[in-house]
Amino acid sequence: MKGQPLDHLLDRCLQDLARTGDVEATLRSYRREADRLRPLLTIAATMSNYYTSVPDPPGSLAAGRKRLLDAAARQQEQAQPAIPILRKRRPKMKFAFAAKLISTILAIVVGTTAIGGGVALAADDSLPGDSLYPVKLTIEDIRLNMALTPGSQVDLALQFAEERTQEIKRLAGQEQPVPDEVVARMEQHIQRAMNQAAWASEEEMPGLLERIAQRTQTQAQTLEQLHTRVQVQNQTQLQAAQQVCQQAHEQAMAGLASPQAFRSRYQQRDGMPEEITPPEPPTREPQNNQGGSQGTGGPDQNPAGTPQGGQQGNEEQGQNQQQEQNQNQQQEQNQNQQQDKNRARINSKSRTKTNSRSRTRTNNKSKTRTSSKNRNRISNRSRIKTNSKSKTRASNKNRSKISSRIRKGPRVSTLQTSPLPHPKVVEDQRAEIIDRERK
Amino acid sequence: VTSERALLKRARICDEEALGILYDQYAPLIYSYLYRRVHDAQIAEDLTSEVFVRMLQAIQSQKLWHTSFRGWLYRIAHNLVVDHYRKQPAALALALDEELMADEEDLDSALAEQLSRQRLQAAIGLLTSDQQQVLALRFGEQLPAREVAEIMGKSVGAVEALQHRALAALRRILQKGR
Repeated sequence: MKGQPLDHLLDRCLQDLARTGDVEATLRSYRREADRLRPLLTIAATMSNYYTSVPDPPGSLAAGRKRLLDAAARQQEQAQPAIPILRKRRPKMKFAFAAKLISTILAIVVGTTAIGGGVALAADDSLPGDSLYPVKLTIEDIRLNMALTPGSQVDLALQFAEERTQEIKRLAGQEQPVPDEVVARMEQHIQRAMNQAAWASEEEMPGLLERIAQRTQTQAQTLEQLHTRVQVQNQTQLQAAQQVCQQAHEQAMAGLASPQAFRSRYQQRDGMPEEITPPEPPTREPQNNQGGSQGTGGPDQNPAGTPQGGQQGNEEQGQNQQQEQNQNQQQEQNQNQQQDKNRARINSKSRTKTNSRSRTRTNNKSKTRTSSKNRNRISNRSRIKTNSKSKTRASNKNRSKISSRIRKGPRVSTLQTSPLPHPKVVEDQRAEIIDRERK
Repeated sequence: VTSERALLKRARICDEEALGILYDQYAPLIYSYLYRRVHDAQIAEDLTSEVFVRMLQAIQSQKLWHTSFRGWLYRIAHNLVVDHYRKQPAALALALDEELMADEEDLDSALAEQLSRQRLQAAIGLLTSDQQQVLALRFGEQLPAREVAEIMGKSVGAVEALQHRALAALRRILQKGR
């Protein structure tokens, strides 16, 4: 025993004590160190007695048994459709690959054009209502579609959701109204991240959920801090955004606690992550929506009763509706003129960064095919130089056709506001104004 | 051992009978350990249930254990205890009171009379998580230092030292309340 460290000696003593159950009897074999060991053995004997009394479990552990077997049964059920899921997944993966390919090509085109890089950089700081904001959203969509792994998709989606939070913060700081679409888009990003996590591998999912939980919580805290500073008009949007983040945090935490339940809930609810159509930006549709999703979304986006529906069925009714819309537009014009002036002032400040003072060249041949959402977002002074060969420039040409009075017109940019006016209405209105000016 | 391996193999494919046998065999042990750590029968039972659900998820994803299956269950249980105290740090509400403090001379006699459960529980609550774990495994579960070392992912020497420090710290706390 000589030379043995006290730690080891104590352990041997404890083994003897467990056999004999008597401290003094045990210490007889360790007389040299007895004085040092005695107090420790006394405590150890007390501990052994303390630990022996364990009450019976209140539920006789039956609930745990049932829970385990239920979980096993659920897993067995989920294991059954494994092959059908794979079969179902394959064509969608092809579609996803095609979408990514298109996005990549678009990104290359945008990247290599002369203004692409500069605009992208300038758009980075833009806010809802700025002329470059749609560019920023489009670039985000492209980047999301180019992300190949669930991890990178989740990170990007969370990054863009955080960007929406920063936009809310900046708009509130400038005492500007926060559009509902910012909150809606934030929700879409978070939803996308959750969906990606639900389809990730079992090894990857906990890490992704932890990231979602952590970052949405940070966002919720940031928004919480804004409550005291934000003006009344933005309180609703702020609360909605905070609720979105808080719920996402809670769902991610729940997912960490029971991954299988989380996975099955999201997979049943949302389908494949690739199926999620990117959220519609506040001012214009992202470029990647021009391919697949437009076809399915087109009819649905045009609610029944709009002039488009009326033309086919009842032409007179359609014209009446057009007139009503024109009247509404005029009323909204007056209401929103002051708002647009304020926005134009802010835009002129931000324009120092974006070099957007250049005027758009007008082209009377182009058709007004782009949605009026896009047109109305453009402020009077900020115009991007257009090129008739490029699609994006074509849309700008269309915008530039509208006279300045129409540009100041109704702001129907929010997704939830009145249905889009028929192009013909806009054409008529434009012709009328031009005639009046000529006279 | 062979039968346990066979049971685990069947458990991996969610064989309910095998899972039931494993549960019946190990749930009481895990419950006892958890009770010794959280001092609440209901919480211990809930956590026991969670241990086995996690075990099922882990064996599904081929996460193998490096120690014995029992040791692996103790590890899961320990992690749940840590999570539990992280969420509910008020477990130390049983603060040491004046009654708990005893003079050096009285200490041995006081121990001989068996300190009340509540007093000792409060004193144990002041130890570190590792120290509490080593005491629960060594004196509660009566596991040898070698197996405790495997469960805790430490060397045998480290466990012996930890055990020594835990007992010395407990004595100090009971003696002076430091």
